[in-house]
Amino acid sequence: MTDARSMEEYLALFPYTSAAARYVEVSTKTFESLLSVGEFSKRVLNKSVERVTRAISGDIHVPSVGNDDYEVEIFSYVMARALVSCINETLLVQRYANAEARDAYNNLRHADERSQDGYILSLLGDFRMPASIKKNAFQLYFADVIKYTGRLRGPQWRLVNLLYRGRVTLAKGEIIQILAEAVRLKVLTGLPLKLSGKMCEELSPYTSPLKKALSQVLLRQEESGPVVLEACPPCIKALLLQVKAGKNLSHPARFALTSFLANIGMKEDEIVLLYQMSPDFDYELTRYQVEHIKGSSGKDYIPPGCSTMETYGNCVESDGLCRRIAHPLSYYRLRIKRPDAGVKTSTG
Amino acid sequence: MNARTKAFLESKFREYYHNAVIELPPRFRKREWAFVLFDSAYPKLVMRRHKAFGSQKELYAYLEAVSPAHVFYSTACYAHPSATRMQDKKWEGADIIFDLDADKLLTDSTPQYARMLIAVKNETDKLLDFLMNDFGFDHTDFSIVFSGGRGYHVHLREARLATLGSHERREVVNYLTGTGLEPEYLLKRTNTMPMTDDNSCWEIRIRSWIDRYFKRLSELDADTAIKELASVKAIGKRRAKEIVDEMSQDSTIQPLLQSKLMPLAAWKSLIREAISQIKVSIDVPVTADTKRLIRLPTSLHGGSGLRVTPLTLDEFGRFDPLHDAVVFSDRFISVKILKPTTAELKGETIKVQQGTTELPEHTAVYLMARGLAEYESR
Repeated sequence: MTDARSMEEYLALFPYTSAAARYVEVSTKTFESLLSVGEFSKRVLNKSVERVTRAISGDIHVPSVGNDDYEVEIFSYVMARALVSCINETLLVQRYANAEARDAYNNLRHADERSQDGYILSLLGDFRMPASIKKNAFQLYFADVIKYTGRLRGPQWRLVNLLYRGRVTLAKGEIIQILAEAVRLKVLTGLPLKLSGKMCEELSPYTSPLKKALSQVLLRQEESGPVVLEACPPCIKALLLQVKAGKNLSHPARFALTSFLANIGMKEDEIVLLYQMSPDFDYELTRYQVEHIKGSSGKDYIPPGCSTMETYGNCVESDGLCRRIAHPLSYYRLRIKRPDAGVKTSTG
Repeated sequence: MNARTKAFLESKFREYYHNAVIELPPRFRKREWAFVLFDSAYPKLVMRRHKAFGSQKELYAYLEAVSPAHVFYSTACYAHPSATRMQDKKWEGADIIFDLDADKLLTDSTPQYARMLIAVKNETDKLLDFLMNDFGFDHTDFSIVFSGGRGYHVHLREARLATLGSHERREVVNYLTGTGLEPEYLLKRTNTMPMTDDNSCWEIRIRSWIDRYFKRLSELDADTAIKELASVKAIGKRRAKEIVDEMSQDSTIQPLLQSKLMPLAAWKSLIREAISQIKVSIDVPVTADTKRLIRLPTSLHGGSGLRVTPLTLDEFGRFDPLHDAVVFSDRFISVKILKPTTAELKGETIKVQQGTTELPEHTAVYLMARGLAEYESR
């Protein structure tokens, strides 16, 4: 980041950094001025719609980093956050953060060798993760790293395999993955923004088509189909077996099983009946617990993720597909889509 | 516990809170406080929660006035500690607590208190070694506390860790319990057994455990060594003999490690054994929790009358809870024993039978607090 131009390029590539936020703050362009008619605001708005669209569709965004486009890029991020906030759908917020993280990953991955290290170090600084470089590997304080490894699967991300005297050493490819996760969380912070109704009104010509595209995606998700027990991950299958064999489950295990089944659409009655084999089966109590976990809206409680299952000793017989997911529900969804997913890698 | 016993315990606790130096945790104004009193419900624990104190004086006055059986504060700091709904408190960060409880360590049906305390102290020692060696903490980063009951709490207050979420805290717990360590992965990463690249402290720990294991074997007579080695999964008697022969020719283990004498499955089961010996048994949910209530160091534990004792690393080494956490006098008082039992305070083993007897005040308080005796005034 030696000259002003490369600094602007950095901000355009990574517009969620504190450095970019400062750039926007000191700029003469205000949020209101971006909504008024003009060549610049038109380009910003179009670009921000593009940002959100690719989040909905899952496409990869190619940053147009040409000479005078830096500023458009930076402001389009600010505006995209406003669009996402006005639409105010949890799914979109998540997808949007994922999309920005995916772009960050690609931009870092494909940056030319000269800029790559500079970008990485600037981002590490921006996220307050002091690092030292040793033989092309990055050394970081362990607490700065575990904030971002929760969703990453595989033994290479676990602290048990990484920690050396308070520090963790990561290869460049790994640090890029960590940074992408840091970006995701940074983008999520504060979303949805609390914007005035008037502002969202003014943005509605842009949000309406986005809403429409999003509702189509949501519709596809609703059609989740019947419950397929064979598609459950091994941990859930093991719990089911135990229940059917009349064993009492520990509290965390019972919660994991009930919330999982509720989330894949099993009816309350069916879940209660499953537990009737338990030696301490109490219809009213079980019914109460299931109702409580299922919640009035049907999906109040998300079942515990893989790492929680692991901590409580409930992650058993994990297979090839397990290594690619961080949540038992993801396993189920993948299996439903592709019954043979992960089968080939189970020996690897 | 009858009303007279409760009144007596309360008066003894009041005496303690009047005289004792009570140490408050940093940022105590930002913490939620909770108390269990010697009230009509006691020993059923009815927690009076969501208290907050603006000054040290206010807190001391409260302690002396109500003389609680148990005193807790939140490991978390909040903008509004006295708000009654968790979401209104506004979490600002939390200490990390490690809870070592003898309950988890001994499965013996009649564990003796003294033996339990020794086992849990050893476990705490293991934890401290992990914290200083593997995590690189300085002994001034944490405080060690005897809980007054069956174990120890270690409070970690490093600023960079305060805002870690439950998930990240679990990663720390998993490290200590060796959860997620897979022999297959360890072996694959280094390709052969020796695991020489020292990537992680766990690898070093496992390797040196295995070194010591073979060193110990080499010091045994051949027959015993073969027998022991053959008990490892995937090592037959013949294989065990070959290995022991090899060891007797060369005192260093290195050639053995590189040879193909040990089958892969045997390395795996040795590594598993190493992990189970090295890991620390801590109470997992306590450390993962970002909003736990924890006992106030320097307060009294209502279930034993012992002092919740903060310790420096040096003090911890010499600490004997059944001696050093005793605060009450050895003046004799009269109690009615409800159940025959044994108490071992202040280096004295006292066996008591049912009925009225005279006991030193500290032992009397201990038995009353545990519900094994009632107060008898003369």
